[in-house]
Amino acid sequence: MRNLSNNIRIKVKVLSDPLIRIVGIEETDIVVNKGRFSLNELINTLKSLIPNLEKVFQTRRLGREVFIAVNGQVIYDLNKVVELGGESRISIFTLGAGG
Amino acid sequence: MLLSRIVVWKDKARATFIPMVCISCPGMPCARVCPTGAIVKDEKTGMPKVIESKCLGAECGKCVEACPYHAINFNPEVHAYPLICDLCGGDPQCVKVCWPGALRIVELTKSFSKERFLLATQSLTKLNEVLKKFQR
Amino acid sequence: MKLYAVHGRILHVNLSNGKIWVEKFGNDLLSMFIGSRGIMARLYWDLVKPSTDPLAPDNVLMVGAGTFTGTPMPSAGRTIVTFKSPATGRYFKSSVGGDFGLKLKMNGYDIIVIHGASEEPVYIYIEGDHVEIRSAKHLWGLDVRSAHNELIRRHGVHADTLLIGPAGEKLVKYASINVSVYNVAARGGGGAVLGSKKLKGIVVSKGTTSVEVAHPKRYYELAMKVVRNIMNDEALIATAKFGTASATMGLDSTSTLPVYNFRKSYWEHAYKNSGEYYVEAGYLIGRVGCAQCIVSCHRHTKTNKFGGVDTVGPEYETSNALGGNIGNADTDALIKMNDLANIYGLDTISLGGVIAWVMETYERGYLKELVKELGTEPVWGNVEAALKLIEKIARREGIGDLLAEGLSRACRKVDPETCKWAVEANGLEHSRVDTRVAKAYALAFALNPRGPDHLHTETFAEFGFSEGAKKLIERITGHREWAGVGKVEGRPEIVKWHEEMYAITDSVGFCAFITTAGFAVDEYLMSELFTAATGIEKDAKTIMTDGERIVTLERIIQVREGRRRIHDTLPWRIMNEKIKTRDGKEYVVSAKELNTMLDKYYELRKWSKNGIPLPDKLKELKLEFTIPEALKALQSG
Repeated sequence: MRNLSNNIRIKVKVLSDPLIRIVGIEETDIVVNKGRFSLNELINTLKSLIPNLEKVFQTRRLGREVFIAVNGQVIYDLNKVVELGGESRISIFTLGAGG
Repeated sequence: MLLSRIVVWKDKARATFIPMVCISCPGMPCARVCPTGAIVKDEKTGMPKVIESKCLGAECGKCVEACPYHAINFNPEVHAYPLICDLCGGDPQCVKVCWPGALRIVELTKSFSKERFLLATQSLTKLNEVLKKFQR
Repeated sequence: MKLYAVHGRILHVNLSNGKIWVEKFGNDLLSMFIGSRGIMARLYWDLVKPSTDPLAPDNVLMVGAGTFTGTPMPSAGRTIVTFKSPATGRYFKSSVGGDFGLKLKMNGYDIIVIHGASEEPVYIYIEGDHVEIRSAKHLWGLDVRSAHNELIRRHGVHADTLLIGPAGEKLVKYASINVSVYNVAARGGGGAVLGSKKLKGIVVSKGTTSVEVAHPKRYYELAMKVVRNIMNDEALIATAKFGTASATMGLDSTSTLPVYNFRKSYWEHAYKNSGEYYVEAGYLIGRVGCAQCIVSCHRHTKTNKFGGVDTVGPEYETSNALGGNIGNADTDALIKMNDLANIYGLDTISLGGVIAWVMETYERGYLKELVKELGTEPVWGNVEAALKLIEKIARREGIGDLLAEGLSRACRKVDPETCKWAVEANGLEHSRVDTRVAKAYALAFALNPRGPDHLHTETFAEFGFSEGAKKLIERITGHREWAGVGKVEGRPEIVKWHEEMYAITDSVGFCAFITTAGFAVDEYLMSELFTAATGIEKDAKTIMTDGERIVTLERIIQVREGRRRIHDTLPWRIMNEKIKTRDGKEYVVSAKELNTMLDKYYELRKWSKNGIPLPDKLKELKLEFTIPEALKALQSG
């Protein structure tokens, strides 16, 4: 039976160890509506679906100590609109050392 | 003696790294093939133990060939006798430096014994591929 | 006193006359110059004249293992390569990981020095006391991977190689030296130096000669402390997981990420060039580590595109140089380019700088004929054009012959106007951070003997990304709030500390991540490690003075080669074109700003206003043998 609903299942990955320790998971699937969201709306949705994610945003500034990548792009602007579809991926991480 | 019993075989062109270490196989081919009975099973750790006073050292080396896992580290220029993992007497140093936790010290249950055998066999298969690739 | 931690043995090989001999050194040299980098700088003073042509037989190339290499010290397996560079025309120190340095030491040598040139292609084989020059006719022309496999078949699975690829054979000015296939002493054209000597490479056998340390029990305790410090350093653990390209988003967020040939300093597609993305999208299939390292930040990556690629990399610099710098957000293409650079033996930073320059030059109306030669337009993000350019540069074919000369020479041949966007200085293409915004980096790059580059003195703490970084800035300057980019306060002090720490770090064989990107070892612990290893008493102050000695010796070497204040500079674009950050601020490194920092730095160092170390300072550092040269330079101006 075809999926006629507006729901899609997308993968959310918590990449960095310090964040995994806070959130308690490395990877999860969430079910959301297909369509356009502002980053702010998306973050609020994620916070409601993933327990403990709230704590990450309490102590870390977006675009400084925590980053969100949607569909292969890191978004800094809370007002920026993203399109979520069946192939979408979301990753959350903090910074490393590099060089 | 701070010499590692783990040998890492490397195929650098394929970024393939295969650590091999003794898994104290039940048959103990190293002990069986030793002409002087210099290898015995240590009662405390369950690992093979080299009795240096009985070992022929560089004049022999049969245990190295007999080990199916290439897990006996023998460099007479560095240390006169073969090096086989002895769990550092019960407090293995390697586990302390392995931050991803690939090396663990566990109670040897039947399930862990099986897992250890499987992992070692997987590594051996990879190692044999590498050795074959570089055979002349 | 007995020599500990090092063998005290330098292997000399002369390819012109086939002579092979061993030179011994003792505790005096070790105490003064700490290890590989310091000792080889001292050797360079004696062996390389200011008149030496880098591609002539009288240039030397030296490879040295660190003092802690071969002892149970984590992440202390780095190897130093020193030579006169055909790109810069001066003393050049390169750094590389892999296993070669460890195995060289396990064969009984701390350093190998290669003199002269062979008429026919050869390689050197080392098995303890047995050292042989062998024909490399069957290897000449082979890419690094193929040559390595052939040599391992011949010499056994536990041997290791140091090799040049076809680019080195063709004397490309940024041809690299590859160790263990994928670890690269990339910059400065070391590959071309070996190419000019017709030396395909060096093979070291398994090696069975170990070293002892002076105080084994204490050393082991300290080593375990370093292990714990590394494991508790979140920046290092993140680097282990995501590789050096975990720097990408940090730089993007602080507007220090140079893209489109330094025309912008942040990018909406930056994530595609990041270590996190390589993990998220499944490109990463394993991690690779250098000898003795428990971090293992190198990447084993794979893609099915471009005919299928299974390779190691891309590191941060490559991810940006061949990523955003050329407008490339195609990670599959990036992996392919990285593999080509690996196997042809090319420095990816210079390569990326050159390709970006081609793209900008074409955009501005030059090099129209390239479309015919490449079969496609060299425009931003055109990976087909980039891949074709890489093939041509490695072979010096067509436009590749010009581009193989590096930016400084290529831009002048095309039209001096194009040099305005040739982002290089002193003959070396600029590393991948926007120095208009990161001011400590700017000063360090201007002073760097190599040129505007990071792998000699990287002031990573300037970003203040971690608590360790902020604490270090506070310790050096007394002002925690001076951490962060866009600031000029305290930069000379920050650069001075980093130069000295780097000199020690390199010389003992530590990876820079241990001391300056992560903070597992500071100068206090370093001095304790050195004392326990060698038995030579050092404290934090004396070991940093040893670092200053090495830095100052490298400076007077370059002064003898003609370097003055005027060469302590940055590319034209960095000093003349403003860059705008995410929050709308504009930055540039003006001559005034640079001069202010240089004046303060020279004062701290006790160098003249023209950047020449003063005789009193040289005497204080026990570098008296260089004073006549300093006096000559001070007189002539």
